[in-house]
Amino acid sequence: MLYLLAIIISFVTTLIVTIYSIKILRAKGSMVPDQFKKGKPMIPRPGGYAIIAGISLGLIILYFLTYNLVIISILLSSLIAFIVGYIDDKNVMKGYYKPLALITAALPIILLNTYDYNLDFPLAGSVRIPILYLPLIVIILVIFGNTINSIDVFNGVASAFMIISSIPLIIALYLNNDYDNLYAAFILLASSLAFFIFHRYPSKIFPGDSGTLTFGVYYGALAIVSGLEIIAVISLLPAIINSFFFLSSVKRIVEHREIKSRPTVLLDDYRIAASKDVNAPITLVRLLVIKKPLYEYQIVKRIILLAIFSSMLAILTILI
Amino acid sequence: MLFLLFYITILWVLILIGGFIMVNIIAKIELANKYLESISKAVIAIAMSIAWIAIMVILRNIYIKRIM
Repeated sequence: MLYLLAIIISFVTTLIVTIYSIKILRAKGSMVPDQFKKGKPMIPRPGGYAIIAGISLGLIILYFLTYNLVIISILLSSLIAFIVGYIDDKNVMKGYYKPLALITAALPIILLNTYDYNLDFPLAGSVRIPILYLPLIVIILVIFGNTINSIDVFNGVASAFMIISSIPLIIALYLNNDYDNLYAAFILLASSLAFFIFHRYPSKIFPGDSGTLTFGVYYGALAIVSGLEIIAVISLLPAIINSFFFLSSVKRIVEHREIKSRPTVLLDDYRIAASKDVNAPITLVRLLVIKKPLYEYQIVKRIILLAIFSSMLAILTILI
Repeated sequence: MLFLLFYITILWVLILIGGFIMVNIIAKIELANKYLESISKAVIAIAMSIAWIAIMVILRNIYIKRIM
């Protein structure tokens, strides 16, 4: 019952802080234009405060119920990701800043020794990689943080992704009887759900880098400490593919705003079309609109469908 | 959309095959020198990852050439 309280508090805290963040950010003028809507309305940003507040409170309660250091390592990694994102929200940093700074998010897991260096491959077994696992922790957190950050180009995508991708982890943790991490997964789900209410199309708030990096690193840290790295990778495949397409076409680590040729163009009727420029980066969205232009809500629906599909593959992997 | 669903499925299959090869073939390699053994396993795993990435890039490029 008390565990349920931690989950509910996480949900309610995110909900309340999001409502207040919208008001405070509006009053402060901390807003950015919603690029794909008529008149480009100004939307408050960043909503990362609400996400980290809900997650932190839920995890602190969970720690005092379990006294499990794993919970503290997830909390500290998420806090570091939030700070990294917050700095990027306030000052426009270079493209290499986020991947480099996110390396520090791996420190709590490494220093508190809350990982298991056996890498489990579904259907095959596990391999013991004591030396290789340390860089793998860093790689997972950097990739997960940045992929969730990169996929969040449209209303509601990052929070929807977290809701959907949490489900395979919850199923796997339940089947493994790993209850402490199961509650931590529910806290992520609760916070994502509460934020999604305001982030969904049409958005009332944007998470900003502080929000998306917190989501991604929390998810990665949870996957590492619970030994579900491969299941987590499968669940996040559309987001990983997006980053992979972008990096393999641009061939360097760079911020989206530094790219001269955009992957998509906004038409007069507010549909989004694929760029005809051969030098424009390839992204998931560019491939979604490559045959015909789509409205923003249609693209959001398709990305969510891809997330559901990859999460179903992850669930299938757990069950077979 | 269909291409992306196909692409995700292929990637999923490659992950499962990669895991199978890692656990059942690469992990079972045994050399007299343990240091050399670890390095060889890591090099093979990295080479496999590069091969997998190459497959994904080729698939993506074939699709884009057909469409554009």
